[in-house]
Amino acid sequence: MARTLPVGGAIAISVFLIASIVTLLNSVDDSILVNYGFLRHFSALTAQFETEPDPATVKAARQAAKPQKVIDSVPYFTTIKTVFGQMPVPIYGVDASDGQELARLTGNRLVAGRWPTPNEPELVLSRSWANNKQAKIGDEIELKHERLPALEQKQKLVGILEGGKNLAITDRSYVLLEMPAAVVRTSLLFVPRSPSQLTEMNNAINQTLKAYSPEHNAYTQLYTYEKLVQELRRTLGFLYTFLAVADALVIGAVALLSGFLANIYFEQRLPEFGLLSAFGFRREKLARRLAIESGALVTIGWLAGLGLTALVFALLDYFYMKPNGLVLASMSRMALVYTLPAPIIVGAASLGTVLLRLYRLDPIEIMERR
Amino acid sequence: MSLRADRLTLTFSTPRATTFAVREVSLNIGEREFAGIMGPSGSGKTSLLHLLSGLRTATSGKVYLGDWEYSGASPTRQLDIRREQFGFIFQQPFLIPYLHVLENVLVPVETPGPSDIEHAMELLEELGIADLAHKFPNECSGGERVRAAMARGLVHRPRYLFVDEPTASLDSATGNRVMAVLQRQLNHGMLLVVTHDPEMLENANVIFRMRDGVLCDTVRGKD
Repeated sequence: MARTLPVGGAIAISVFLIASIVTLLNSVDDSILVNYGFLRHFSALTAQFETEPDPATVKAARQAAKPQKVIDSVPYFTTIKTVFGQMPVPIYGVDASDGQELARLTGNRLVAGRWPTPNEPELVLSRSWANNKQAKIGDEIELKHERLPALEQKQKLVGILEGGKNLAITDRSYVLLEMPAAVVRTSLLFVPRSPSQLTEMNNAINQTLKAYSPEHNAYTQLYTYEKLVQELRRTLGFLYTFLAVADALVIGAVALLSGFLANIYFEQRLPEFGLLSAFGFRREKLARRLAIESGALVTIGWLAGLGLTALVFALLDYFYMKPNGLVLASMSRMALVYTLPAPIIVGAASLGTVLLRLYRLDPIEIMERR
Repeated sequence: MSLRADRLTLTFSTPRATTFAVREVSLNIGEREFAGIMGPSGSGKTSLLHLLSGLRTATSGKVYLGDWEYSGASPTRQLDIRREQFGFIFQQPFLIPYLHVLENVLVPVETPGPSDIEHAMELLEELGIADLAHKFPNECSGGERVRAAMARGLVHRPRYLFVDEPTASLDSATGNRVMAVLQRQLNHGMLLVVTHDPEMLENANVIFRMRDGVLCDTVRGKD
C-alpha cells in the first residue's frame, strides 16, 4: 500500500492541477453566464447611438415576434467583481409595476426591504450582487462606470432579491431625471410568452432588424442569451486551446515521472513476479494482474484528485466566493474530460514499462540476485 | 512417474570461452523416491535442479517425466505442469511482503478453498509456526520465513518437490523437524533435495554427487 502512494499521489496531484485550471477557467464562463442569466427570460433591444430604437422597427418587431410583453427600461451600468476582474452589469430603470414583473419573471422574490420609491435614488439587488458590493440594506452604493452609461450619484440599497437570476432594479423616473440626456438609452425588454419561445421570439426580432429599414437599424442590437454564449465561445476559444496545450504538458511530465516511479515500484516487486513465474504462473496472467492493479491504482489516484479538487473548491466557494458574491464553477463534465488523459496516459506508460520488463523476466536471474 | 535426465548439459558462453555448468548428466529418480544432490559450492547442483524442474532450459539433453519428454513440451505446457505438479523450496524464502504468512503459503493454489486453507494450517502446525499464520513476513524471524516457504512448497501436494538447501538457516532440531515434514511428501511423489549437509540425506534412496558440473557418483541407498 505504502509503495503505491508515490504513483497514486502523482496522479492525484496532476488531476487536481488540471481540474483546478479547468474549473477556474470555467468560472470565467460561468461568471458571465450566471450574472447575465436574466437574459434567459427576456431579450433587450437597444439602439447604441440613439435615445431609443426606431419606433417603426419596434412596431414591426412586436408584430413579428408577438412577445407577451415589452417593458420600457433605461439601463445604466455598474461593475461587479469576478474571478477575471471587474465586469459591467446593467441596472434596469423601470416603472414600479414593471420592476416587480421583472423580478417575478426571473424567478426572484423580495426577501428583505422594499421596492424603490419613484424619483428617489434607490435600488434593489440580488443577494449575490449585494454581497459582491459588500452592501446591506440602507447602505449607499457607488455605482459609477467609466465607459458605459452610469449615474454619478450614490444610490441606497432598499431591497434584496433572492431565488432567481441575478438582477438589479431601480426607478425609471429617477434615472431619467439624473442621467444626462445624451447618454440615456432606452432598452426595450422583450418578454416571450413562455421561456421556451425565447429563441423563436429572438429570431423573429433579428429578421425584422435585418429586413426593416437597415439604415435606421445599423446600430440597433438585440442582446440575447444565445449571442452572449456565442461571443463567449469565440472569445474564450483561445483560452481553451491554451488549456489543451497546458494539459498535454502537465500530463507528459506526470507520465514521465510516474513511469520512473512505476519502474522503482516494479523493481521492488521483481522477486514476487519471479517467484510466481517460477511456480508456473503464466506471464499473461501476471500481466493481467498487473493491468488490474495499475488500473485500480490510476482510478483511485484519479478519483482522489477529483475528490481533492471538489473539496478544495467547495471550501473556497463556501468560505470566500459565495460570501463575496463571486461565481465559482462547480466541477463540470469538461473538468472530468480534461483530467481523463492523465490516468489513461500515466496508466499506459507505467504499465507499458512494467510489462516490457515482465516479458523479459528470468525468474532464476532474479532469485539468484539475492 | 519417475523423473529422468538424459545427457543434460548447460553452458554459459562468452566471446572468449564456454563454461559448462552441467555436463552430460544422466540420472533417474523413481516415483516415490527421496533423492539428494550433493557436491561442493559451484559444482552445478542448483543448476541441475533448475534444469530438472524446467526453470532453466538445457543447452542440450532431455528431461522425462515417466516416458513423456517434459523438456520438449511447449513453454505454456511446461508452465502448467510446473504449476500443477511441481513444488519448489528455494534457498531464500521469497515471501511476498504484503501478504500474511497463510496467504503466502496459499500462493501456489490458484483459487484456494476451505480444504486448501485447512491443509495450509496443518502444514504450518507441523512446522511449528501456526501462530504466525496471520502475521506479515517482516514480523517473522529468518527461520520462520524459511518454514513458511516450505509450507508454500508443499501446500498443493506436488508430485515432484524440488528443494534447494532447505535447512541452511535452521538450527539442527528445527532442521530435523523440517526434514520429517519434507519426507512425508513421499506419500504424494518424489523429493529431490540439493544440499551440502550429508545428515539431511540419511534417509535418501539415492544420492548424486556432482563436481565441476559432472555427475561423478551415484549412491543407491534405501529402497
